[in-house]
Amino acid sequence: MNQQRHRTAVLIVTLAVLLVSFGWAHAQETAASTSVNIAKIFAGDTPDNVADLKAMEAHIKALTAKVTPSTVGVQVGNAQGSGVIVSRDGYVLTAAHVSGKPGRDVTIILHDGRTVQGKTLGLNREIDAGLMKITTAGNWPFLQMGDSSKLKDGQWIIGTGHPNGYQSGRKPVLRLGRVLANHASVIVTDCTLVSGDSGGPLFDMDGKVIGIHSRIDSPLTSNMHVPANTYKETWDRLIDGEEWGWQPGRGPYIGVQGDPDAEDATVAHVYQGTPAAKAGIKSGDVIQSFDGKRVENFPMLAEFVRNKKPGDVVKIQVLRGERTVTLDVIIGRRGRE
Amino acid sequence: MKAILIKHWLCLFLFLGVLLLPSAPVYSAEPFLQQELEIQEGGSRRFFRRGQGARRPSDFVRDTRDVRSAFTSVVSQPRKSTVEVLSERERIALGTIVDENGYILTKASQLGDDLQCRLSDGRRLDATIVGIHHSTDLAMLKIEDKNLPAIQWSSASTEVGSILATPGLNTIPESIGVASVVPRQIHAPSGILGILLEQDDKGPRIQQVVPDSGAANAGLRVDDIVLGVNGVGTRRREELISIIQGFNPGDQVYLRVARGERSMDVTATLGSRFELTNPDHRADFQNHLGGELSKRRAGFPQALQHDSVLRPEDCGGPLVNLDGKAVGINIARSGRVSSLALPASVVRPLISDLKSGKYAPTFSSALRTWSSSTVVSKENSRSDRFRTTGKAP
Repeated sequence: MNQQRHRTAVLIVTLAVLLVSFGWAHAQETAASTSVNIAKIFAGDTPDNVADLKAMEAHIKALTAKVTPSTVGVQVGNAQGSGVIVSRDGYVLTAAHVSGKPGRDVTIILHDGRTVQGKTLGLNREIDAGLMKITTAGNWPFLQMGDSSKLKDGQWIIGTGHPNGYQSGRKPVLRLGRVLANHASVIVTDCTLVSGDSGGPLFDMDGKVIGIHSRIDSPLTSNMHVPANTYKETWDRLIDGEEWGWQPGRGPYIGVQGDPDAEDATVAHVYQGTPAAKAGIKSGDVIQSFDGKRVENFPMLAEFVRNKKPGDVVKIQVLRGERTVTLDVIIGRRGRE
Repeated sequence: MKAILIKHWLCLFLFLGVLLLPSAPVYSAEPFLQQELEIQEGGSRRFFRRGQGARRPSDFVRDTRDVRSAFTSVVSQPRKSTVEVLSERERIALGTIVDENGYILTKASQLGDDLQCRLSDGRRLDATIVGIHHSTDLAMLKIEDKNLPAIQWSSASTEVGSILATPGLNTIPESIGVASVVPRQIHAPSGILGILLEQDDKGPRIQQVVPDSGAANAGLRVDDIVLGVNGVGTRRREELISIIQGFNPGDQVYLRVARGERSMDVTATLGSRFELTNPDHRADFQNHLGGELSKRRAGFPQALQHDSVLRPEDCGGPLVNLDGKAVGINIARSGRVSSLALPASVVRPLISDLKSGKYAPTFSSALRTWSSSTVVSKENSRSDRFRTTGKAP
């Protein structure tokens, strides 16, 4: 009798264990399939129903809490922008056009409104990448950079930043979007941006920094970000405070035109009022050397000019008819004159 | 034909206090940074891959029809509590049914003449305005009908990252997005006169006049002393600043000014911070890139900012969470990255007063409301007060 009761009890316990473990396994399976589904959607797919949307929402809320503390406002001179902390000791990614030049003082506004001091470091003007460092001592909330080359069209992303400039009492502002195009030098998304967002972070759904807000076109689908990989690839130069590259349409120039396919660098046209015109270069001149280096064709000349800084004075030797003439040209800056 | 698109670097030059009416501390005045707006042919289009079978960017933007279709069950109820508000047969706003007896909330400054509401069942009914609440820009409309499905409100507060939908009359929402910022006060931009002041024995003395500002256009000069605004005396610099900040950009003010031994009255039109600090209106300009904004888009006691893309005529309807419950009423398209909604906690306590006639539009306010929405947006209560108490010349 006693033994039978005991046996029944064992059976019940066994059943209970079985039921519980079955239930647990079932729950695990459901959770796993939900997370697989979410991963698939975030990788570039479309949600089908409210269950998908709720799973996305839960993930986005948790992600927002994770990325907000590392999103900062920055003030450099009179310009305001955004940034993101990517190391415990306070390296901050931003846009080159926010930092302006190396060695400037920066006021960095943390997500909770506290301000700390910093300095601008290196910048690559061509793709608009800039680096800063918090100089106030401390351990800063930071996020890792992801691999921006792996971004796929349609992949879901979030962005934060300080649109229209930091506003006291307003936390970094969240936006949700998708990747519309991904190239080595630019990511295009429909995560909407406006002035003040410059330098702010774009995140993948793991909360890794995969881009930095840079510029917009008129359509709401034209928001451009600097790929995170470009920072990683040039990290040492950025830390060393190097500045290089020119914002498109802004670089050094002299103001001559020629046939890039020709076998020499014959000047076809000299634009009025340009450094070349001021130096006395004439159409028909064949450029032979630039700053002591032999010029064989027009692409070579263009490359030499690109590597100079506006204001540099360069000796250019040209063949004019039978004579060789040497001229001093002051390199100009496009868009200035 | 190649479209000319504008590529725009996002640097924000909020010139903090420099050359403004000195409400903010004056920072060192660096030279104005060069405007970096460029016109480029092709714009971002060149970034998109081309070729046979390639998906176009429009296939995978966030707001595609496919994505919005996932919200069908979310909006199935609230869309029945949504109406289209028509003025002279043209859609000017959405509206939210808040009472089964035909009371509908909408955005006041959108309203015009000859109002009608189109319901989700296709009927079109005449509507009258029974209440207008200026600080929230809400209007209560009344249609003659019974047993309408009133909107169901969410009692939970909305967290950043919440996915939100803006239902229209259709089975899929008009727009979707996420909550960007928790509800906060949205200050109206204050008017700027364009002078720097120092305190003088006789009153605030002008140290500097910004070229092309309202002050410059009104003929104000360095060393003028501003004695009063709209009949209110301004002995101290701070008084003048605080009065001017009570006006909106575009408002006119009457100034009593002492110049040497003479005193005179001048009329000045106030400008905005952006006009003065950035002659190219960069920030203002960028906010208009990507679509029209609501005329009244600031000066709300509290609003939830979300990133749904709305048109001005999409405001006035409910903003719902994934349970299909209204978290608020969309009240403005306010910028390139932002739409604003009045939270349910702000809207609900106003409903009974808006129905009861406590905020009934008077003839004059009705005239202003119905004849010109811009007048409503410009004349907030503070500038009205100064107009009526001041003895304007």
